[in-house]
Amino acid sequence: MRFIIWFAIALTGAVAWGMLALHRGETISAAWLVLAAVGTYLVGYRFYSRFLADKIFELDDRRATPAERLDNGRDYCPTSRWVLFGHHFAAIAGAGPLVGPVLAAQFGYLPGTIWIVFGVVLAGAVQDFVILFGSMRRDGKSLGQMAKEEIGPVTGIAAMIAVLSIMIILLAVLALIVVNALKGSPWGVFTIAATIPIAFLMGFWMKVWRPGRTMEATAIGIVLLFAALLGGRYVAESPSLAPLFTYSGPALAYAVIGYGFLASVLPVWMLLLPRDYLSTFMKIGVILLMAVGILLVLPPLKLPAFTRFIDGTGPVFAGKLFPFAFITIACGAISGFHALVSSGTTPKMLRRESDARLIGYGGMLMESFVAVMAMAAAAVLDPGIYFAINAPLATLGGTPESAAQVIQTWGFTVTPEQITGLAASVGEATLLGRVGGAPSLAVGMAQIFSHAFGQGLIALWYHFAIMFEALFILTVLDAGSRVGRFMLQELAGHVWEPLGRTSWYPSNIFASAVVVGGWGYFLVQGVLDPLGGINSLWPLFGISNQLLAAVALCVGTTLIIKRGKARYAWVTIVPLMWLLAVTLTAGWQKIFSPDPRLGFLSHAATLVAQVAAGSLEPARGARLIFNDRLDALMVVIFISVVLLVVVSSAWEWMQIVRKRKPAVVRESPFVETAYAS
Amino acid sequence: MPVETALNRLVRVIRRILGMPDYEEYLRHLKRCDAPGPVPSEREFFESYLRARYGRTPSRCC
Repeated sequence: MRFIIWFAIALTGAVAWGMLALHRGETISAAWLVLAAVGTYLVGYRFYSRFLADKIFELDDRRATPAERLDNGRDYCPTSRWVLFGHHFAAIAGAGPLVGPVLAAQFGYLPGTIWIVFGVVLAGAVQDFVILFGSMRRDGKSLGQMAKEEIGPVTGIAAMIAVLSIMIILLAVLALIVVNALKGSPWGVFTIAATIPIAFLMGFWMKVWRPGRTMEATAIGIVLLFAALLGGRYVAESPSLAPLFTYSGPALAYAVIGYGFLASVLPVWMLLLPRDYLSTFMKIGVILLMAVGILLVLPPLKLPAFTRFIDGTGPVFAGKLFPFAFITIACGAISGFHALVSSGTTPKMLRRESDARLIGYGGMLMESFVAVMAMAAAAVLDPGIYFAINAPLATLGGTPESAAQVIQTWGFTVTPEQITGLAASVGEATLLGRVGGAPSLAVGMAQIFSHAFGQGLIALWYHFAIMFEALFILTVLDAGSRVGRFMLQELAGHVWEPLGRTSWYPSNIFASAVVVGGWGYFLVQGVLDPLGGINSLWPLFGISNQLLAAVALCVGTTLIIKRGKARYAWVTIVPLMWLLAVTLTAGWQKIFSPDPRLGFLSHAATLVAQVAAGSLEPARGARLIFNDRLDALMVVIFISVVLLVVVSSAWEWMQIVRKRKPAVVRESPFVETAYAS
Repeated sequence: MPVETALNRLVRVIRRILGMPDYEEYLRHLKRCDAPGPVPSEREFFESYLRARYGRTPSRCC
């Protein structure tokens, strides 16, 4: 009977993939996308994750977890598995899985979807699971600590530098997405600006007036948030108020940088904590809403399965399907950042060892499903509209007429009236060239929501989606700047001890300024970039995130080999090889490609020629050239750090496999659980 | 009251998912383990929660 059920699930998934792959025509229902994904997840979870759990990790419910042994009622705290699933999912899901698929939709919906679904089952979920397992067996140690103890001190420091530089690029690109979504949008700016006083109010409520009453404060915050959303419409329609909240890209960029600095030096309870609660609440709510919306409407996918841009000529970002589809979609398929979360709070909350399978592997499948939904939301747009929003202004020309013309040369039909009509219907002056993925995702979501929950509210839904994305991106900015500051202080403490003191105010200010200045520089570079910035920064982010995943997989492989399971080490080595192939190819092309749209150095060379020919102002040219070279240098740094980690790990593996070194596992000793089974 | 207990349970679940502090749970924990020393006030508990939550490792992803 069981066999029949699983056979039916597998067959459904296979048929759905067949429909997606073979269908060539007008449109196809999003139902097939959902069926193909869910069918694959179920089979992957039932069979592959069980294989990992039983054969490699040997999860043992008789063994007490850190939550049980070290229970302190706070961070170490046994938590029932579905609640912890929610907690872990809220911590790993963010802007990444929503934005990446939308950008990768320039290749059509199929390549991205295949990577999201099969990538997660074979790579992403495996990474999250192995790191969660490793950390759980080591009392909740972090990825960096595990790298240091299991591979070596150099690897530990390399991993830390990797994390810090990835963080800088990540924060810059996320900030750029917010800036591109909010520039020239008084409604959006008002709503997001209002979240700052709302956060202060909540912070004082929780900390000063009614200490510890976080639920009350959050409930108040949510009500005020919706009031701010409605207020935004009033502001946008008021001729006297709208100009006060209308800003250009550079102005918003400096505002975001100032905000980031403030958030990083102010006490956490004032800004970070309240925003964290609000954005987590909104995130879970909106993702549930989106799932319900897509399942209710089952919208037709208007984007083709493949577009002509798989040849690398796409306007959203440069580069061919291989490797750039796999770089553009990092989160959702495999995300190195998760290794930090899986070795953070979650392992300290597992009640039973076997829960790690649902939470580590299953949680990542859930994130992958969010990415599939984002892909669906991008694919419900008319392709012409999709490219009008996502192609850079420099390519489209400034007017709806010029944009429609350019898009027609790509083979998609769209009229200037459609472009202006859509912008007006969502309450914006223009949607042209709003690169970064957030606005087109918001338009797609608004269309799905308004179909599912009532027509006519499309402008409200659009701004609801923008608010939700901007809210949690800014929260990541706060939290990330702070974590970056701690890491920098730890690294700087090796150089001069006082700089390592996180309680010393000058050190805090200094480290915050360096971190915020770091991502701020890349943000401004992106805003001023004539091609919109996403073009250069998103691939950098993708490469760095995938390389962090490579570090995590190295640590995972080491853990598996040291457990004496070298014959199963392919479960992490195969994804590692794939990631190295993808990221090293992409890295090489981003540095050395002779195509100036793709390669940083050849782009710099064309700028040099333009300056020499007098068609580019020397001062501006010098800055753009410097930025290109800086971007190339970042890629070089990422790749060298990761190669260092890979080589030192491989050395360690060889030593153990050849029995020149004993396979010593540094797991905490076995203690029998006191729980009744 | 069953409605009240259900509501309380829901509140606790939401708290845990959002990663909020739970003072009552903490007090129960202290009682369970017969922890020595004075019991921290709700305010002190909140302070220590903040320190634990925003430490050196990221708790949130992109």
